Amino acid sequence: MIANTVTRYALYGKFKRERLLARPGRLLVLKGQDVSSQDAVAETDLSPEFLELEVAKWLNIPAGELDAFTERREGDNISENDIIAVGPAGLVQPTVRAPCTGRVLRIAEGKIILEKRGTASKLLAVYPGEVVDLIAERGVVIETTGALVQGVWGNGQMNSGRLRLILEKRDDPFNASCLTAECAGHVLVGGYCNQEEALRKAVEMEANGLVLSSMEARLVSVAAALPIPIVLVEGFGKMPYNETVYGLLTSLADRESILHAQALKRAEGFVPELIAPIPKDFGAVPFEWLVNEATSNDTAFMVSGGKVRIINAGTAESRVGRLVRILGQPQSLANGLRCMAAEVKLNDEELVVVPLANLDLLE
Amino acid sequence: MNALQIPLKSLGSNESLLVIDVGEINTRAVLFDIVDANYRFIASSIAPTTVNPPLQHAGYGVRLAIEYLETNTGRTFIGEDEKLIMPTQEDGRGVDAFAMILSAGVPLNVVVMGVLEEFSVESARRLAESVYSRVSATFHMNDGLKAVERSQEIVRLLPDLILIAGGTEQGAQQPVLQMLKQAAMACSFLPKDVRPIVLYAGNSDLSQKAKEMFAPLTSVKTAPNIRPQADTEKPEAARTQIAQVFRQVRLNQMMGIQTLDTWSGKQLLPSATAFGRIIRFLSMDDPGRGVLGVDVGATNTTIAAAWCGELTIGNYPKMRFDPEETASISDDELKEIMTWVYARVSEDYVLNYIYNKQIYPASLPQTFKDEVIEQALARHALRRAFQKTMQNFRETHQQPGGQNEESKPFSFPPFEPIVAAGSVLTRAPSLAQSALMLLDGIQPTNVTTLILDQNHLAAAMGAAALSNPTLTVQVIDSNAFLNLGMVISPVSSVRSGMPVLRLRMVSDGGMDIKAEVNQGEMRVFPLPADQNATLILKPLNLADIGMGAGNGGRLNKVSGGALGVVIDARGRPLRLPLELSEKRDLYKGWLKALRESR
Repeated sequence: MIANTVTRYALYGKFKRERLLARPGRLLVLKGQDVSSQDAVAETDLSPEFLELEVAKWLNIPAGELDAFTERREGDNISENDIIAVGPAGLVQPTVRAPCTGRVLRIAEGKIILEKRGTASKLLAVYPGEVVDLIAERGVVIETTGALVQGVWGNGQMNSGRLRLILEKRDDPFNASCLTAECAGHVLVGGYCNQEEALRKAVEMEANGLVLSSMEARLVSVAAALPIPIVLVEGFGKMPYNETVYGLLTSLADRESILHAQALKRAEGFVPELIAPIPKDFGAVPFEWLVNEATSNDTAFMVSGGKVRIINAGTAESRVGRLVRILGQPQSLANGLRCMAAEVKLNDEELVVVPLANLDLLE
Repeated sequence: MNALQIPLKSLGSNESLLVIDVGEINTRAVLFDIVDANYRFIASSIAPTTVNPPLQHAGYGVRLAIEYLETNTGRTFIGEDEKLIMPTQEDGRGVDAFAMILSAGVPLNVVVMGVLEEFSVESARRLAESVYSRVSATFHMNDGLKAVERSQEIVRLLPDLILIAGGTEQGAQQPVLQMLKQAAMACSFLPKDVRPIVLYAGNSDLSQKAKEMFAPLTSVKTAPNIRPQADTEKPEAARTQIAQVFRQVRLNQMMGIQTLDTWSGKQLLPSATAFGRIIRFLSMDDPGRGVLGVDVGATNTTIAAAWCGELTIGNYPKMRFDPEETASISDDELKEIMTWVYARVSEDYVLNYIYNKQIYPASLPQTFKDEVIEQALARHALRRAFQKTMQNFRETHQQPGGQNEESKPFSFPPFEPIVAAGSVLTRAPSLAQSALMLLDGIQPTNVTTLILDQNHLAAAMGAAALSNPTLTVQVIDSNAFLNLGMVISPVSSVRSGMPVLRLRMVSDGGMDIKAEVNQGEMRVFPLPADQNATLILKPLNLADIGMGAGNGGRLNKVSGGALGVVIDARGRPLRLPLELSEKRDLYKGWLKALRESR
């Protein structure tokens, strides 16, 4: 059976990530090049600006004759103050200079249209690793090695820092009182957030980012406006971490990490995530990491024994277990709905029947 | 429903049809075939849609859905070479025809250009809404922008489609020509591989000019003028073209659908177009009434309203806020949703539910209160989409039937039947809940019939409707849809508790029921699906059931249905109490009335 959604957690693995410009631009790296998270891999002008110059009118010539008076052609790059057209000779020979640096887009109907060179918006690598593929004018594919925790909501920001746990149990709340001066410069791992004050204080204390188990949805607009990345691992409402991800986050304490809190867009493959990369000088990777290495980037098949998270749009705790079997006949839920379902053995050995649609495959 | 008067084509050879429906969440395989010389729905199967990462290839989900269908039917459709076996072989393997419909994928990014905002731009916007799209900008002669600014904006927005309309037939060409030039200029400024497709549906005297202008730059399609006169909109031909644009964009975007498109003879259709087609088809049955189709999907709601073959269709996102962005839902929208929540849950709980549902759109509610929220979201989506479509209907049909007098208030046509699709409506825990969601969301007036498309066939049949109308007619007549029953909704301004309808129902089965229904009540009179009845209706206190205030009449041969005959006298528009316990008691009562009829 194919899973509806897949979430990846891994202590160790190699992951390929596309980094793409929102619009065509220029690549700044080569295939095979190593990049750090802050390296720019491509750039583009996100807000092109065009200027229309009424050149024929200014030169006092018929619109149809402009070609004969222009010094540049369509496609030419120009610098500010470059002469782009010169009028007919006379007592005073008028000239038209480029008001900006950019490119000549069009010369027609007595007008010249220039594309103003704007401030190039740089696309950062985010994922440290090797550029393994180039996508012409759009971006790159980077392969990175390390630990991975995927979330379900991100506020669009990105930053890095050492991971610091500010909870002792997976269901501890994230409050303003959890935050101390020692949080500065760290990516903080907290629990459920129900306080606007806590979010704001994290910024005040100069935390580099927040990984939270969950948050009240009414705080979305506040969280979205904060300048530090915030990733929710479980969802909205009061939800502690599931045991699997909590164990993983605990083991990543003090590791240098990158929090890429991009908005979840499953159709485009954008998932907010935390990466704890393994630096080149890390030394020998422990044997147990290699045994558990996440090797696949593209599996989405649920099989018996596979790890699943039981999800629920109602704010119940998400639970993790192993898929036992998919039941052959539709099952009735407590509310009367009938649907295809599966048996799942929870981590505490309890056997539960869950709608197939409510299983998130954990890889 | 009555059979349509369409000559049956020869059924000499078996003509089985396999339809694949790639939805946002699920991929369905639906099989139709001939049984006892008539087309029948045979079986369907369902698998997750796999167009999104990590699999990112429609083929996985389609393959699985077909495998399930093979298991269910004991037939083989795919050969060892992984190709569709077509036509049916002597040993029974394969199918004779294949169709594909698609609703998965991000909405088409559309820029609309026209001459006047309230005429051509509005018509073009409505045209864009007929497929899954998002209009990212509209430009017109009075938008206050310079030509170069419009081009700049198009270059920034990187649309999939520029939709250009404007100019009446034989009217002025210059303003339209200006828009065409500006769109062409914008296209020329973009790199070739990201240039949008252009669809021109304006003054037809400029169609050739548009082709010549855009052909060297990008893919261009033309359609007859969607607004040939200021007061006339003719979108049908342009709808076919925009469906083609949708196909073209998806073929470039999605892996795995190219093969399916080839199998379908390059006839891939947006599911909404196919759904609209079947509703339009049904509306040709009886010129005296319209047909309404509603499909509440995981992320979009489609409303198709047709009258004598004239279709108004709209696709609307389920919510007004974009959950994929970091924006938050507005207080107003949350309040609208809370209106429909009759379980004891806080606004915060509902808000959390909405956001979690956006993360996991396929997830199912497992508790009573979550089911109430889920249904509240469906009511909200349905109400909003229906109102928008009716607004479009009002703007494009001054008066259905052609009689419009400005002095008369606009009246919506009686829709009969109302066809409902989408899992939240058709797979609700009870038929009573399905019916109540529909009655709340649409709030029909007059007399209508509620039909549930429980097997998700309507869009699949729409895909076949043009090439094989016989199939459509015969499958509809074969009870593949579930008739919930007739609904009579008296409209009256009297206070609650006052009588609004006197009714007598005499059934074939010997039942003779006399009753009086009061304002505010929901009453149901059982009439099994295999029985007919005669209804004698007498509105009281000047209530209107579509025959004029206070006028009643006799309805002969009323078909029975799963619920029977429903009298919804709760008032129009429906006003729910703010007090939760009062609202909950009302819903309990209404659901009880609908349930007890069975």
